[in-house]
Amino acid sequence: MTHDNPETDLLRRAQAGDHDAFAQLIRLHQAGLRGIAGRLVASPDEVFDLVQETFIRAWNNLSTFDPALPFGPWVRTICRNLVANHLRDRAAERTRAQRAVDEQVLETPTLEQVLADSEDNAELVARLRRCCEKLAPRQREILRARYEDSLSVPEIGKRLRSTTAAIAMTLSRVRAALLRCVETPAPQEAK
Amino acid sequence: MSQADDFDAGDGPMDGDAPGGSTPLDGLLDAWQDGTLTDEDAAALAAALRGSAEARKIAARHLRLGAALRTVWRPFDEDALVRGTQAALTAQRDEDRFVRVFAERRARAERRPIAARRRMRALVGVAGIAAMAALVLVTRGRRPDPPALAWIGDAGAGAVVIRDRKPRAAAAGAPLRAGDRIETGAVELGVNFADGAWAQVGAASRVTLVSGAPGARTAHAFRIESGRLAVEQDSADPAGAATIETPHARTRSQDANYVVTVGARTRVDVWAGSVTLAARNSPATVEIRQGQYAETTGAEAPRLRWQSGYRGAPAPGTPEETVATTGAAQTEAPAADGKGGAAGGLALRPLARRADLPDATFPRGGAATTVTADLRDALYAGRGARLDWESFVPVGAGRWLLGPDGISQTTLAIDGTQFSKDSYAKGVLNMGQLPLDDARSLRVQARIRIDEAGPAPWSVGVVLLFARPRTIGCYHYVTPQRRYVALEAVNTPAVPFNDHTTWPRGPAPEEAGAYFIALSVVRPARGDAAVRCRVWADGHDPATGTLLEGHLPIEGEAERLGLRTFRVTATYQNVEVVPSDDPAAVAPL
Repeated sequence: MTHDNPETDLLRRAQAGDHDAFAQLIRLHQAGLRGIAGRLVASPDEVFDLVQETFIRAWNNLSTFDPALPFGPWVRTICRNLVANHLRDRAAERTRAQRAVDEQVLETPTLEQVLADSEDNAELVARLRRCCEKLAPRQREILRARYEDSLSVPEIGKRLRSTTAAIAMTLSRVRAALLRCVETPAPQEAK
Repeated sequence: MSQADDFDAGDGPMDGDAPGGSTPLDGLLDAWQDGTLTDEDAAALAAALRGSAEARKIAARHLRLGAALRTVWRPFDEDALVRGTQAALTAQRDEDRFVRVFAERRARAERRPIAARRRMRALVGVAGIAAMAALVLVTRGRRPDPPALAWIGDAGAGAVVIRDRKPRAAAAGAPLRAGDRIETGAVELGVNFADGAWAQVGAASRVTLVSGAPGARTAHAFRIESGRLAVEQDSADPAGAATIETPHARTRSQDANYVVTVGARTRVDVWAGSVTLAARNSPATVEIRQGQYAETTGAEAPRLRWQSGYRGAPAPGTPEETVATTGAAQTEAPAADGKGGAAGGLALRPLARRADLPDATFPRGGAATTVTADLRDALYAGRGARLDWESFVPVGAGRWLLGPDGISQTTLAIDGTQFSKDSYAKGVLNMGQLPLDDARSLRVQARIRIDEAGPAPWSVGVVLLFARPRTIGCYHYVTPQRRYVALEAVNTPAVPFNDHTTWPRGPAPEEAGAYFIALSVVRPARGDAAVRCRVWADGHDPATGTLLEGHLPIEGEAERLGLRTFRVTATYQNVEVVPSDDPAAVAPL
């Protein structure tokens, strides 16, 4: 039996209570959800929670979902809503400046645009990984401190014995370079 | 310019020079993501995002890159996600009657004030009498049924009640009478009494409801042949005492929560209050108190033990009694209005990134406290030869773990992370190969500092743990009246526990392969924690080889109870480990 939607069988099995089928759906879609949640939520643990909560809610409402429809857009919508709620809930923990921007981001047109999944996150990550390999050791060290150790910019400055301004500047430069790198097709892709 | 050129050329001037090629919007977006945005810049960025689709597009690129960078540097554990999600789903699926009924009952009971509860009980009594009278009228001419002693609260499909040798499907709300025999099969069954007492018959159990003692206003009396029976009473009235007969022993209790497990012997685990256990063929009787269990085959005197997973019960000499504060610590009286605090006179005030704490157990943020801890837990953390040099010591906000590898880790955090995270409640104080046979009680002095505290984002709820052989786990919440929320886990080194930690201790033999349900509900009125760790003989699908965990929160419960969490840093420059040479200092078990 064939379906237009290749996930239909998995969805039907999941609707029948098959956790293994649902696990496959999780594996298929978790990268995209990470990409969404990770855009506005810095903490990897919180991203994990949001993605997990997305799947739990999807499971709980699976009976209402038409398995002929694609699963991805549905769970991404759930995830977007959870991310928005999360930001609202955590507003008190943000600085006033961050809150001002968050509030704007939470406005519908902005939120839709910044969380639009115009790109496959897994592919982006793979490309970014290749790009990061080209970074100078110190640049990698700064990125590691920022994204692996979740240090703030002043904390990175302290660790690396540099000024906050210098670290912030380096981060900006590296990000700009990485953006260019990931958005530039590789030679074989360009051909 | 090639991509490689981009990076090579950037290495030198990157460190401090103005970002070449970056626009002011890029700079604002970077500052936003790095938390270095000024108010003025924030207004500019918000305006840009509001007014320009192009700006939003650029922001999306930046945010997408940020998310991808985090993934590159902190790879996402896909397996953990699948396991965690499945655990939650399994927890939902397997949320048994015990858990659900318990939570619902408690929620209902707590919503009703005591006076209302009494009125309700009176009404229930009157209604019961009226119902029985009606029943007598309706059934006149037939041999009347004996009066109902209790009612089925909830039951899964398959449970039966055998009356007059005729099995009938157990249905919620159906009355239970003396002599009714309950066989649960694969499900569980709740029993409600008119006075609010409640029992839960575990799966694969055979239990008979028997008449209570003469003169008892309510009869909470069971005979259990096999399986498991959990009892919860909330009355100090001796007339409401509960008795349970097993093939090996007899229990009597009032105002207690406990579980009776019957197999080759009878085991009684007490979670709150106390229960008297008398062996059938031995004159000895023991009183089992909160946090303890006892077991007997009937021929010998019951052996009293501390529950291995339970350390919420205050043991003599535990640190709460031995904490000494330095001059820097401050204490505060409970808030007079009681707001923000729990019942029982203790008020935990709102804490905003500083420990504004009610007494010396919790000093202010930044203050230091010297804690002296008698490590009596060592005596009952392990069993037999496997003492493993480990023990949790409930010090202030959390617990220290003494392990075999010396004092290697000095951070304890009970923070806001939820379950399944790697950053909570981990205090390890490893103390080397101390000769425990010579030091049954140890004394540790450590200097701790509470760095921050805040409202507990935890929910109070139900934790379901599915354990593999040689793996057990249990969580505790300790009540506000004990002034901390504690959490612990136990595991073997071979099996990563919940993706966050490994605890070098295996379970007791009877716990191997067990299926635990830990139900944690703080009861502010009583000042204790209802923590239940139950073992199902049938286990939860150990063949899958998967360790699962789930947490079913009761929304708003933690907030309502005023729970707080704390992050604590400990320094051990002045650690003093004093092996105790005074056996008398160790409470006999």
